[in-house]
Amino acid sequence: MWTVVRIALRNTRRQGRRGVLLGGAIAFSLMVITLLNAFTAGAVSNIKNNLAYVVGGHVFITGTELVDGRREVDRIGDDARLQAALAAVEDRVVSVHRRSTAVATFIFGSKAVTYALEGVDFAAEPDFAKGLAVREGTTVFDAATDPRAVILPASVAERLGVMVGETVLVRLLTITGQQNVGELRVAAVTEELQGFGLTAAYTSLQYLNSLLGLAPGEYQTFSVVVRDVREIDTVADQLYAALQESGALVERPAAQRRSRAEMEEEGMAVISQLFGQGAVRLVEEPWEGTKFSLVTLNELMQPVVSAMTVLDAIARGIFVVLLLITAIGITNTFRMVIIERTREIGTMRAFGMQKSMVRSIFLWEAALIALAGGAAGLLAAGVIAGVVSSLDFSHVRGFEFFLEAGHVTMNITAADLALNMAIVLGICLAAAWLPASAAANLPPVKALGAHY
Amino acid sequence: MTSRRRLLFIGALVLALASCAATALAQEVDVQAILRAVDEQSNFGDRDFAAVMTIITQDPEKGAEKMVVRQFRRDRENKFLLLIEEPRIQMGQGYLMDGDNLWFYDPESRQFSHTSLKENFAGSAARNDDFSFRSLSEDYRVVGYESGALGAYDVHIIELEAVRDDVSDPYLKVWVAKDANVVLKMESYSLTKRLMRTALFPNYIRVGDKVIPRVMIFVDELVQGRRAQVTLDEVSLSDLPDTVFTKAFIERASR
Repeated sequence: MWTVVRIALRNTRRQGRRGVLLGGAIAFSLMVITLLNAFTAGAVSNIKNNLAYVVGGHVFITGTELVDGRREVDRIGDDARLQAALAAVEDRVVSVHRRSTAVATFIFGSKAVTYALEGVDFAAEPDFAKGLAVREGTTVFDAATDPRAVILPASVAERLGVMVGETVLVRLLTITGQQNVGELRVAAVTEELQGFGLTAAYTSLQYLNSLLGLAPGEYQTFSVVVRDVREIDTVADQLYAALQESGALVERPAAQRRSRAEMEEEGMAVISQLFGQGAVRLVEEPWEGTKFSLVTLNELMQPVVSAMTVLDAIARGIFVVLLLITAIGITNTFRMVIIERTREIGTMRAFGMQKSMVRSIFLWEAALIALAGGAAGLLAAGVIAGVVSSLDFSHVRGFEFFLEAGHVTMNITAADLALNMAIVLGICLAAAWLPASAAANLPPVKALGAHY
Repeated sequence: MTSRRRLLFIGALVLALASCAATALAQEVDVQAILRAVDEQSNFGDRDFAAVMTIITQDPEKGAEKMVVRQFRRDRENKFLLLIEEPRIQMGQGYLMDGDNLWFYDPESRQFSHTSLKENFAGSAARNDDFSFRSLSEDYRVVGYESGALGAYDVHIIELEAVRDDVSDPYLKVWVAKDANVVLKMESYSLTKRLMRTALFPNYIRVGDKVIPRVMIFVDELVQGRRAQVTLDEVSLSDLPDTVFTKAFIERASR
């Protein structure tokens, strides 16, 4: 076999210019697909991390309690069971956060805008501001220094016509459905993740709780920040199991396999609750204590992940098309090579070389071009990724959520690299197969007598 | 004591006595009975109610808009139905309240969605629960009373506090006409005691033994310039078929 490889290597060197052209085309295709794969994987990971700061975590547990035995309100009063369940995932969790959320109408003069308002314990979430792209103002304050500060998304501030430092009114319903009004001072205006609907306005948990009618120590959502975003679902499963074991009433609507309509209805209820759209509901079957519902960022981000998956699929499709064009070049090149080497093939066959060996030499040539081109493509992708990653894109508006501290992150797995290389190799071998077979099937006498 | 001092003393005594008399008079007023009378006026009991409402909303951003809504109410079963007839773009939309459930029907998607009495009606300053019966005597306790005047009318001015934590308006201040026990003005306050809305009822009509506000003006006190005026026409207390208060009726009426 080594003889075959050596001959193939020598032949590849003999036709250096053709090899470089074919290898270059392969390298370009592989470079493009590698960069795209790396960018989408990095962007998804960054979005998950950035959103974890702004939405409070990766795994969310909301609680509902009964009032008067019939009215269901969104509230976690006693979280001893949640604390106990955390022990099962302690090594995989960075931090836990407690938040409350309401759908609020912000009013400034004659303008009114309805948006989600989230209560954040700023002192307990020092990394909170990392996920925000601040356009104006400051996010460095806490409930003690400015309990009525609010961070408004740019779209809300623009529609209200409000500036940093000014005071807006906020109208919302308490957890039991009473009208309430508060006053908030605009501390900062931030960019938002347009289209995904996962951003909110933020104020101190303490003040929002007072407007919602929650007692000190009560809140609505228990959020868990996971050390590695790839382990979100595992942590969620373990928390769910631990809560069940402790005897807590717990639901995992998006993961529980039931009828689609039922799942959608219940999943939407939890998501509505998470975004402060829960209202007082009447229940037929009362229960004791707190009923928990668990949802993950992966489930909330399904549209984002799907969009990225589609982008990946499109990129891979373009990659295959580029390779097919290259394959036509390989086929044509090899046909030319066979014509040029017909007498050489005849001589080798006359000296007793088997058909399969002749075929192998041509296939090895194709494989070597593919491997060399692939390696060059990966090298180029690595260099470009390194350069792009070192650039600061924090000033590009609307791009902030895809970045980590202003920089693009390129993530690619060995599996993705192996798959791309396998596609390159497969297409090149397939392209060379017919010319290689034609060369192998040349009758030695005819080949020796050929004149080109 | 000089005659001047004597006069001053007598004057002060008269004033003090008058003040005491007024306070005693206020204490004698059975405020709870007034609230029950107000409830009685606005509750149709065994009778059904139907009317056509013209709602003119003024919004600083959207400008003025007119809406015509057909309203059906059956207080004894805690039901109401609102069907939007104008503007053309919203024609066929409807609200159906049946007990604890309030449904909104969108003819475009042909689907019902659950909504809340506490939501604003079609984005106006009026709320869905403005079109249903609410009991002042049962849902609120009296926390203040004074006698006064509103324009040319002598009124009871009553301050109320909700007795339950699910009553939409935690605090109310109502101006009730003394001669007819009808509400002329109502202020709604938030849980933080901020004035949110003023409702004015300047015009009443008598239908059978009931006195019904023909014109209602709702002024949003938080959003400057936002207000709604509701005018009732074609008022009727005739019996309505049971089928009126059903989802099928809204669907049929929307075609």
